[in-house]
Amino acid sequence: MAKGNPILMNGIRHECITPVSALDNEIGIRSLADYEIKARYVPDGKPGGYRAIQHVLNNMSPEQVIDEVKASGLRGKGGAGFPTGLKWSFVPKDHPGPKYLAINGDEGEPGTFKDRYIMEDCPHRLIEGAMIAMHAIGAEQTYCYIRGEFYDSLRLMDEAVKECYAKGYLGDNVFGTGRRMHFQVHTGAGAYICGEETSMLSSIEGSRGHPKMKPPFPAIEGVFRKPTIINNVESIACAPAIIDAGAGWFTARGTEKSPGVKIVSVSGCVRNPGWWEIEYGTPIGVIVNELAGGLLPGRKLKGLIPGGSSCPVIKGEAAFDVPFDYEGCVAGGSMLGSAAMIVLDDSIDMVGVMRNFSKFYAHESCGKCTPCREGTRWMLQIHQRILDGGGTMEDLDLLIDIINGIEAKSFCPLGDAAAWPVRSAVERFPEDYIAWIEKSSRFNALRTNGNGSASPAGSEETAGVEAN
Amino acid sequence: MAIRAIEYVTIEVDGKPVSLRKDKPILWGLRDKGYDIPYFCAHKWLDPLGACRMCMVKVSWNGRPMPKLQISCAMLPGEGMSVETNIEEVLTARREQLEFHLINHPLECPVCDKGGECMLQDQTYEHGCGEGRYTENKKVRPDRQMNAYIQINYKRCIHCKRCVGFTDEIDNSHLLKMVSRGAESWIESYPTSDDLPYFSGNVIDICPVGALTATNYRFTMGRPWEQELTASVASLDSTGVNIWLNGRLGHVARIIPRENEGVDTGMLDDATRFSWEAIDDPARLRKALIHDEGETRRVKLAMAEALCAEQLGAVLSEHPADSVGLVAGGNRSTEEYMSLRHFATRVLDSRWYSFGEDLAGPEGMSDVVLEALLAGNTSIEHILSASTILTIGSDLWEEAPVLGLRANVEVRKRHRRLVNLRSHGSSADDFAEYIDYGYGNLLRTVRATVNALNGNGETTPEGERLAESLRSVGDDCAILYGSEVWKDAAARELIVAIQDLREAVRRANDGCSVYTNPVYPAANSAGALLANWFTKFGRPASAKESCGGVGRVLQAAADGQLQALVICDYDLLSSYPDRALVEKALAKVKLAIYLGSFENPTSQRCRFHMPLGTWAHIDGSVVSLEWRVQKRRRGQIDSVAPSLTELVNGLSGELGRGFLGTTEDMYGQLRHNIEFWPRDEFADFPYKGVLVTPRARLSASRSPVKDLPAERRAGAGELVLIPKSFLYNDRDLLANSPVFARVAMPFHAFMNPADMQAQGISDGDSVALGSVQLTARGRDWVRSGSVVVNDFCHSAPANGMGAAGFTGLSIRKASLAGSQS
Amino acid sequence: MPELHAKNIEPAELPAKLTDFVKGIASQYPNTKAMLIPTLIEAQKYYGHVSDGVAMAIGRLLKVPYGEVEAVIDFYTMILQKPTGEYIVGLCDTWNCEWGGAAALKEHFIAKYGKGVGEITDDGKFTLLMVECLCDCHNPPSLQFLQRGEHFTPTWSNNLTVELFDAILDDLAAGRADALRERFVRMERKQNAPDDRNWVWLVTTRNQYPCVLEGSGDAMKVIDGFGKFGDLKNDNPALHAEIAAAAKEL
Ligand SMILES: Cc1cc2nc3c(=O)[nH]c(=O)nc-3n(C[C@H](O)[C@H](O)[C@H](O)COP(=O)(O)O)c2cc1C
Ligand code: SF4
Ligand code: FES
Repeated sequence: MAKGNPILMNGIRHECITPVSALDNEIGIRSLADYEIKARYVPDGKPGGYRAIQHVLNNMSPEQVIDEVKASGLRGKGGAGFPTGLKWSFVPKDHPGPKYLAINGDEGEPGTFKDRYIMEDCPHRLIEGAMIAMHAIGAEQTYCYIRGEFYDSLRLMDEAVKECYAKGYLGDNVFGTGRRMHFQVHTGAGAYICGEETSMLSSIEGSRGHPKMKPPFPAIEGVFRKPTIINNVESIACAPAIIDAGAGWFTARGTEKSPGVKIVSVSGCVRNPGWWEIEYGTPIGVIVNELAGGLLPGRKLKGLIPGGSSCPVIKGEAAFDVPFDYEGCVAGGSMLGSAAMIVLDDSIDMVGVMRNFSKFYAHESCGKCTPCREGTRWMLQIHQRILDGGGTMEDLDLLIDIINGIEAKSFCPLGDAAAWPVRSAVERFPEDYIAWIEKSSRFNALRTNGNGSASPAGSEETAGVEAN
Repeated sequence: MAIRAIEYVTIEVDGKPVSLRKDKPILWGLRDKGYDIPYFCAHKWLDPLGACRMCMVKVSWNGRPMPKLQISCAMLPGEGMSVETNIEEVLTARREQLEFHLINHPLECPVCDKGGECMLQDQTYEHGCGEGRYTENKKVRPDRQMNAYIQINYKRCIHCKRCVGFTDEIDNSHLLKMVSRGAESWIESYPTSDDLPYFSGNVIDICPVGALTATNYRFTMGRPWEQELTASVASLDSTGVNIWLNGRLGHVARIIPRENEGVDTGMLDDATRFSWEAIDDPARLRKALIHDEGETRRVKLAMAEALCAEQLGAVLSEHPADSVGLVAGGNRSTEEYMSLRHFATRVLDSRWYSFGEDLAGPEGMSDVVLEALLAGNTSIEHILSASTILTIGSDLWEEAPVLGLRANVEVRKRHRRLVNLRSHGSSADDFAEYIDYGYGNLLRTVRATVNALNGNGETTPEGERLAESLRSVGDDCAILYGSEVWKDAAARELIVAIQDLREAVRRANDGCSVYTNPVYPAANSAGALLANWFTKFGRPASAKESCGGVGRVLQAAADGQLQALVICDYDLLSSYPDRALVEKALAKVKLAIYLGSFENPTSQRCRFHMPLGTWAHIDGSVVSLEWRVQKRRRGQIDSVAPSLTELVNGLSGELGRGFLGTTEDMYGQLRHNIEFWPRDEFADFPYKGVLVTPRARLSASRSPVKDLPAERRAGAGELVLIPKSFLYNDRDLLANSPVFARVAMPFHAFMNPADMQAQGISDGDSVALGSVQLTARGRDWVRSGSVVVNDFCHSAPANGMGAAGFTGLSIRKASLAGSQS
Repeated sequence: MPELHAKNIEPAELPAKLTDFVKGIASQYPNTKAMLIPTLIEAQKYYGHVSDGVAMAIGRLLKVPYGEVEAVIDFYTMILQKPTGEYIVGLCDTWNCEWGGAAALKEHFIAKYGKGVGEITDDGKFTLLMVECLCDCHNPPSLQFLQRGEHFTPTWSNNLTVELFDAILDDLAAGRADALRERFVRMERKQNAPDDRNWVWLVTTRNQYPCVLEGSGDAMKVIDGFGKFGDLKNDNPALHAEIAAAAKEL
């Protein structure tokens, strides 16, 4: 199959350019009955949902499942790309108490919109995947943490779970095998940080979504201080197909180091934004131009963020040549992240974008650690001041210093996520900042009287607030 | 979980080998060794939080550096580790993080009470970059009162969350919470309606900046560097908590904790911390009072001494021996008790003396009981490391707060077992196992447990249950028993039965270690015991033995055997269980003399009230519940009132009986005559005290008593009255500290909500208990069928609500309900 | 006694539905505290916001200290502490939506009602809240209408223009039943069509769809790229008419 063809694994297809007949369309299969009848890709042609889990329960040991997933090379789809099979194998086998699976459906990264469509369009695939994962790690309970704003996902997942309980697919005697498997949809309540795995566990425990200290890693001591595996919705939803079609089917796609397929969400300055499941390694240009309809008429590419707002911006048309996989994106100066591509054309002002991103991270910082709490707010204040016409040339160095203080020093990666895009903007698009600064009264005042770095305007401002 | 040997590992720090404890994050080990790693959010009491990012160091394992800097507060040392604390990367990181800490800080050190003892100030000096680059608007939020004692200054807060950690992890009060999110977040306090804070003051100490300051210290009591510090010991309970008494310009300025790892690890309860106000309060007596036929005269001490000696002399000339009773409360120093002992035996020639609040009940002390009290004692460290802690009739939180707090932390964090045998619920119910013994049936339950464990003799369902949970105590078990034992009419038998329980638990657990420690009712009950029974502890001295107990002295007075009664720092009327007996005794004696620092209901009934300095004014030793002898040092403050030793010397002189000896003499006698007494000199007694193992010359041998006393129940429609020892009560020091007038002392009739509903009483109604009226409060921790009152309240004395011991009361709504409050 | 924050809060009486909800999910959790956030969200459906009294009552129900409940409420932006209008208008203003015109919608709302963010409009109908990325970034500006009350219903309204926004607000205020129906926004020819059928790019207030137009005139059919459009005709004839009209123009 040629690179660039959207293929279907998670039942997600925004549009079919060349219909892939081997794969059946699962879109809109929300009811259990449909899921059981209609087929997804199966080599021997026998259709049926919940086939994989029954096969697993009857014929496969947990180790075999983990080995199969390891062999498929499946990498976590939530952002870090950690091999899923390897993660599953970290759970202590002989741990006596309960173990948990926590599914991360707190999709919140600006630019990302993929997990919600899995949960809305084929909830049963996720449930089946969760059951396979529970079998592999020896858990009896799944918490599916879905962000609170996704009312539709919450409702549809809940209905699907109820159906499964009613049919005995979930419960104390799964498919009559005597296994216990429970699945609980757990709602979030509006906090991006709860997508970070340990914060999500805090949130499931009913606390503020503050990240927890690692080590101990969640696989050893997670939710309720019990071993817990955390996976993204999309990662879990891959499991049934891997079991059904075999690891080889998966590794036949994508690149060597990033095997398989990935849903990419494309937004920003394109004509037909949307989401597609593509093979890893598809050049970004193919995704933007062929799938997303290309840039708006008359525009040129200014920059592109391949992995959501937390990733550095790649400058210029060079981005189109970057292959869309983990290694390719890193080589291209950014990261694959959650595969949320934000396309920025030449009408976009980078300072405005970064102000908005800083606002997002300042608002979503949980407030636990100092660099992230204070640094994100400071970055926002500087961007706002530059846009308000109060920028100085020192601000560029100051921004880099602030970023140095946050990056790799914050408690959880949210700090990094806030810092990386701004660093890339300051370093790769300084002209946007300088254009604002050259218009700024403060800059001009300083330039004419040749004053040093201390800013009279600034101290007045501070004094005014102090007096309040 | 007996105390384990500490393991060490050698790592490389800045190129040199350093040996560190394996179980502690390297931050602590390195700081102890003099490496100046800055930190804010970590605290030795708390789990590492990793919020401030100040403590970052470069860590390598077997030569391979970790890609990111690591926070040393959460990093345990291990083989093959090497740490860089002084390279440019680390120093830059510190500067960066410090700059973040300072951007919203108001930098108002000159007007901040923390200035001088502020971590932020110190670390900025050491590690800061000297210049701020923040020109945006700072965050501001108006100050707020956190609770009755503490003010929050939000601008200074650096969001380290130590204070939140304390209220979540340590005292479990959940008083402070971080609210909102990100840069907008702040620390909010959620005091629950009526309940007093017990440990909130600790957040003042652990706040690294001046965001949390004591309302009765801030702005008024001087700066930290002006304080003259005295290493002393807290005086409200028998834990022996170490404190720094701060004096400035001859006045007390505050009390702050003094860390003693073996005792308190630096924790302090609010009552002790804030009760310093009483020490200098105008209400403290500087002159003597003479109450004569309804009139009160304020007289100079010397004159009062002469007058008092004259009247005492008259009694003594008529009845030369055994005619004067002498009782003393439990909070004086051991040396004072020694001088009091000399006064009783040599000057008054009386055997009717008893020091320390009554431990043995009306029956009085005997060799068997004394032995039972001393046997099996152990140190706080051992108590806290025991796998199982059993409390009998003692709410540690109230009676030995710091010990109670530490025990709760051990249980919650380190999964030790806490079993409470008690008559009502407590703050530990969330994580402790508990067994309710109906109040009044403690002896029955303990003996039943012993019988059940020994498989021999009658038992009860409660006894069975307790025995069941004591059959597997783990490595060792510590038994703590307290106020409900002392107050029981059968206190003597109980103390002995608890020894039987110790043996039974030991036997049931393959001879594991089992300790028993009494939680004494007062700070120096043990010292009082020592002086009282000096002949049994010390070298044989030919002097009159004590009659055996306060109850016996009072009984003798009530029976008319005594002509005069000397009461020393002991508010009998408010706190002695049998109020009628006190009344009778006071009415019967011709002469009553009170020695004490403050006026109280008892002092007002005595003809003479001679002033005494408080604990803070007097040098002396005190003995805590773990038998740690510590020196309570006189603060750098003016007194204008004598110590008990000085006072009895004065009286003795006036009576022509000569000089009894100085405090140092008394100490010398203790040291010389008591074998186990520390060998140290009084003048340079160790700051952390000395643990001793008490031994007494006793002739006791016996076998367990198996009979169960009959079960006691309240009559139909009655509630059992439970007088409970609260930390906050009307003790002199608390009743006279203005700060406590502002908080709601727990003087209520606490009832089970179901009982209240059944009786048609609602929360806040006034109810009559005997002749006393109190406000009813519904609390779930009260067992149905009982009513809990504060056992030490001047206006509503629990001992005035019914007979001593076990009382059933029929509670009714007071006629003036509503208008009362 | 100095003034304290300590409010003597009367715990509210919780509706049986809420206690039933807690009972219903209790078996899934090892402790009660874990149910705190779902319970608060559920309670908010009945009350519109979580008042101190409700927080206190939920704290007692789930044995969570009151302060902890408040701290949790304060952390999560979806749990509201102040009363709101009948509809909460949650408008995303993260970058994609800002670029898509969220600011214009916000300005329009403020100009129309004279009420700022977080305030209740005079008719008691609306409260505008600015929210962070709703993760529907391909449909900017993205917006959610949440109708409070017994029949709690959330509805997405995406790809909005000021005119459409205004029309929806008016329809809601007038109480029109189909006010929140999927509406037509725009339609254009599809770029890079996969085959030679008549592909168009359809944008509605719910989503952006690739579609195929078949036939012409009144008999024209709209076939979508996913098969979701099958029911479109039945439950939303107005949208279908709008699409047909636009198709004619194309
Ligand atoms: C600030 C932050 C936000 C995150 N948000 C999400 C999210 O919304 N959804 C998600 O699946 N993972 C998110 N992650 C990644 C998770 O922490 C975690 O790596 C992932 O859920 C693991 O699943 P995977 O191995 O299947 O990718 C986030 C991480 C960070 C640091
Ligand atoms: S008030 Fe003090 S202890 Fe509490 S978070 Fe702020 S700085 Fe830390
Ligand atoms: S002390 Fe280590 S992060 Fe604060």
